[in-house]
Order: sequence, then C-alpha cells, then structure tokens
Amino acid sequence: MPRHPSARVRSLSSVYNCMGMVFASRRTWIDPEHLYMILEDDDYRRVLHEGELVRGDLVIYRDEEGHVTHVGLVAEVRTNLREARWEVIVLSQWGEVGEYFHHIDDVEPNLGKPTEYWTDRI
Amino acid sequence: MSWQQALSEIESTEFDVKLNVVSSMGAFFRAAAKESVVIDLYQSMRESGDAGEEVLGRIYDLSQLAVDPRYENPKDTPLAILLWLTYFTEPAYGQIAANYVDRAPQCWYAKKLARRILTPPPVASGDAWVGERQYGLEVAQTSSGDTMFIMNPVTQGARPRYYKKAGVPSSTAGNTSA
Repeated sequence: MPRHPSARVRSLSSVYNCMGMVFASRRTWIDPEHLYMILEDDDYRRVLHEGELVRGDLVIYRDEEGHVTHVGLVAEVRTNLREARWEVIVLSQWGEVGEYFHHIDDVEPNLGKPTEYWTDRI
Repeated sequence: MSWQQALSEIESTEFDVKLNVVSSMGAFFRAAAKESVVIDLYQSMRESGDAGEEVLGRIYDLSQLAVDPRYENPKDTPLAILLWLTYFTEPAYGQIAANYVDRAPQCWYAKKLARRILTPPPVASGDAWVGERQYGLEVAQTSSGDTMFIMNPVTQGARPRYYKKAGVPSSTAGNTSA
C-alpha cells in the first residue's frame, strides 16, 4: 500500500468488516451503527488518554460529520521518548479490502480519524 | 474532466478500493458524494441527455457481465454509483436501471440500492416526517458542504415520476405512480 507506508497486511478476506473483526470473531459484517449498543451491552468503558491504552482496546474513528466510520483493535503501544508521544499500532479490517496493522492515523481518508478509545478491561 | 473520463475512472480498481474501505451503505454513499469524479459525472448527467443515456447503457452492460460465483461482483461499486446517479437525475431511467442491477449476480451495495428503489419502504399514517435514519439512507454532502442529493425516495418527497421520453422502451415504462 504505497499511500500507507505503515500498513502491513494480515489478511485479504472480505468475509467480515471492521466491526465483524472486533465483535464477531471475523465471521460476518456488522453495521457500524450498532457500535454503541454493543459497547453498552458488553460493559465497555471510555479510555481517555492514549497512554492508558493496552493491546485489545478499541479505537473508534469518525468522519468530519461525526458518523462512526471505523473501529480497530490496539495491537501495540510504543513510547516515543524523543518526540514525547505514544505510537499506537492498530489492527483493523478496511471494509472488504483487507485486514492491516497500521499506525493509528495511517488509514484511508474515507475511514475518518481516531476520536475515541474504549476498553472492556475490568 | 469529461463525463467519459469520469465514467472510466468510476469503473477503475483504484476507485473501487477507495470506496470499499468503508463498512456501511451510508458511509459508502457519503464517501462517493465527496469524490470529484462522481460530482463531475452527476453534473454532466444533469446537463446532458447523452451522458444519462450512456450511463444507462453502461449499467446494462455491467449488469450482464459474467462473474465468478465465488467472489463479489467486481463491478459492484460502479453499478451502485451509476444507479445512484441515474436515479437522482432521471428517475424513470432509475427504475429501469434498478431492474438491471437487481438481476446482476454477486452484488452488495448495488443490489441493496436497487432493492430500495424498486421497493421503497411503506409510509404509515403519522409518518409525515420521520427523519433520515428510519429508512437507512441519508443526505449526502459534497466536500464543499452542499447537499448533493437525498438518497431516500420517501424523504425526498415523491416516488419517481413516470414520464415518457424518447429512447425509453414503452414496455418498461409501466410505472404510473404519481
């Protein structure tokens, strides 16, 4: 993916979408409009800061109008001391195109921008 | 960009990938409405009967292509976009095009839209204005923020009207709903 230098392909399956990858064990597509119902039913809670993220937490993306467009799983959180910031690597399914490891911001424009983090940790 | 070039780009693999990273019908058409090639083709279809008729012919051609039954129809994206544009520029053609698309194998967004056009959700009494979400289709906006068109035939205010136009076979012009 030349436009996404950080993206590393994990799978090219189209059986599931981003929601299906996160909530349905890669078995099906789930409409993103059901996201908040699932988060509530499954007792997820907000994580307010990138630094609190751990592997398995959720990243939610929205477009400019505020629609939920995408969701991914945190795969790794690195500390970038030189630039004093966190580097979050996400695993997510890009529609029917494929599943990728990528930097949190390095996604197709149509997938929006990361706006929220959630976790089901106790 | 000419409408012929826009049509060609809408059928490209690059365009298909760009739109198919999204996961829902609403997001798909919102993303499409921001694409300059879609806006160019839409304007051309509004201004030129030739473009509209050429697009209808292209929908027919694409819907007839044989596809590998193990995979999604590779022309799902152009079929969905062209049907969408046809419906909102030439409603009578939109019905015809929806019939073609509905018969195309292994489609996803295109088929969902075709079904929506062919069988709009019923409106119950008291549903004078039910908002956008009830019918699943939303207002699409251009990148400049202007409303491009509304995808929902019910909230748009009227079902596609029937009118006879040169080139439309009379046998297909049977919908007389007002």
